[in-house]
Amino acid sequence: MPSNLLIDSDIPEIDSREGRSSLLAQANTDELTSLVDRLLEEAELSSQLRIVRSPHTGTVQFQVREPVCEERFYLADVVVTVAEVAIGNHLGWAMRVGTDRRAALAAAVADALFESGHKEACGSLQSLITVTRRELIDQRQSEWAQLNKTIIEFEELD
Amino acid sequence: MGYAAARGGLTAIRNAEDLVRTLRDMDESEQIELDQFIGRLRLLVDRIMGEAGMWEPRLAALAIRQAEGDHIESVHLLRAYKSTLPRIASTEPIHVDDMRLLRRVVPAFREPGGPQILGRSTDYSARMLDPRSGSGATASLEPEVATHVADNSSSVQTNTPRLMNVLRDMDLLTDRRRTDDPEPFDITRTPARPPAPRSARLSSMARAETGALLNQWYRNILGPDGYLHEVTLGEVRHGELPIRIKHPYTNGSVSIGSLRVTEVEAIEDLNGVDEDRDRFDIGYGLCLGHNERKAIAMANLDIACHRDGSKSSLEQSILLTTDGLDSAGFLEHLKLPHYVTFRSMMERKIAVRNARPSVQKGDKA
Repeated sequence: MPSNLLIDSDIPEIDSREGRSSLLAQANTDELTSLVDRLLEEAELSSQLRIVRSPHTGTVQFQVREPVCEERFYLADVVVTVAEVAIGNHLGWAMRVGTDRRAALAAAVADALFESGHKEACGSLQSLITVTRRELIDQRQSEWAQLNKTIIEFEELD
Repeated sequence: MGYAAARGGLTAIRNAEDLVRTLRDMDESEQIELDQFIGRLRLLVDRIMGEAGMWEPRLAALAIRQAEGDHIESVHLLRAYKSTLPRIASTEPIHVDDMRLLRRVVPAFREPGGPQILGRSTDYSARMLDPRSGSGATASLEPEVATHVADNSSSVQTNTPRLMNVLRDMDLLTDRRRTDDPEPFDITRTPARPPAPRSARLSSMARAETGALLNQWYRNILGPDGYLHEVTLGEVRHGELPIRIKHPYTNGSVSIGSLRVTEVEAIEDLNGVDEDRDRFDIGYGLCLGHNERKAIAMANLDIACHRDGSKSSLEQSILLTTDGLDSAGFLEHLKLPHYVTFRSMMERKIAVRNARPSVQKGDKA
């Protein structure tokens, strides 16, 4: 079955680093930044935090493969903000669509916290990405509930 | 063409800019918030992102607000902004089959396999001005359930095979699939000039000005060019594609979000002497956002270019004349001072007149 058919296709799983990065990229900005601020403060990790690459905005080229000749072409650029940090020896990376540097930095810190294995931080962040995943699915289901009512079957006239 | 630079009047220029800002920002009405553009003027935002070749709805909304709704000026602002940004990476190649559908109609087939989803559309409605539109008074939170609902599952969109593949299975389609996977042409780094690879034409049309592309299509259908004829549309789709990036540490795939696109397949009836007359061919259109006019024109022009094989000026017209910023920029530069240019033209006229001794001043002979 082609992957575009399922409502939850391309909804990231939470048990891989890539899946976590995907969900951190799509997490609610305010919730992500306030949680990361709180975790750094409570776990007293701020002193270990190092900015490897400060958050900066740029573009990624969006390339698609079309179905007629199976050729690739560049459709457009997407504006993203990327950041890289380290907590101790644990590197964290994040890229988010848009220009919000604070959110990208928070996502990179969250990635590093996951990698550090800090128990309390991981638990809180796990809750955040679980909620994010649920919200993505809920949004698609609610969208589909509306679209489903516009399915049409035309009739041919004799 | 040519004009000489002029200087002076800096204060007046600053005051003119200030007048734009002041009258716009101090208008008695409330300021329009960026979310309002994105939510209530989504088609305008989509069109501007497409023509700017840049996905970021909030920046597009900001550009529209700053440009007082001038869409070419909005595109200009976005392209200028984009030119200041570093290019960080390319996405993984996203196959359009990964699109999550928000709309799908198949004009060629009544039962194409999978549902036809009208989605958000007024295609079949009468056009009447509604004073209540946008006020919330016309919103229906519980739309009537359609008479023919093929699948009411909340978890599955149902099977949506591509019409192209149905034709392929029936051996009714010329197979142009490539296996060599050439690197795409980057029109943002190198201007595309004919003869250009197809990837350059597709990129150029994807960010072309919608009206320019529509005009190219129309003048080829009804106008003097006539390099293409009317086709039947296969798929018309609007949906979301994932934005997938390679994770720098693991090399695994990270989906950082999605963007919306419109996609069209145009089925061409091959009838040329040297063509495969018992098969069809397909033209392809894909552009950012929800912009069906543009994607339909693009699909038609894609197959027309392929059939034409650079014999006519069609490809040149597409590559060189459909970019809105190029054409509007050239047009609008005519407003800049051309004093020296015009003075030299006048001097030439006078010199020509003076060089004709038999003609008296004022005579029209």
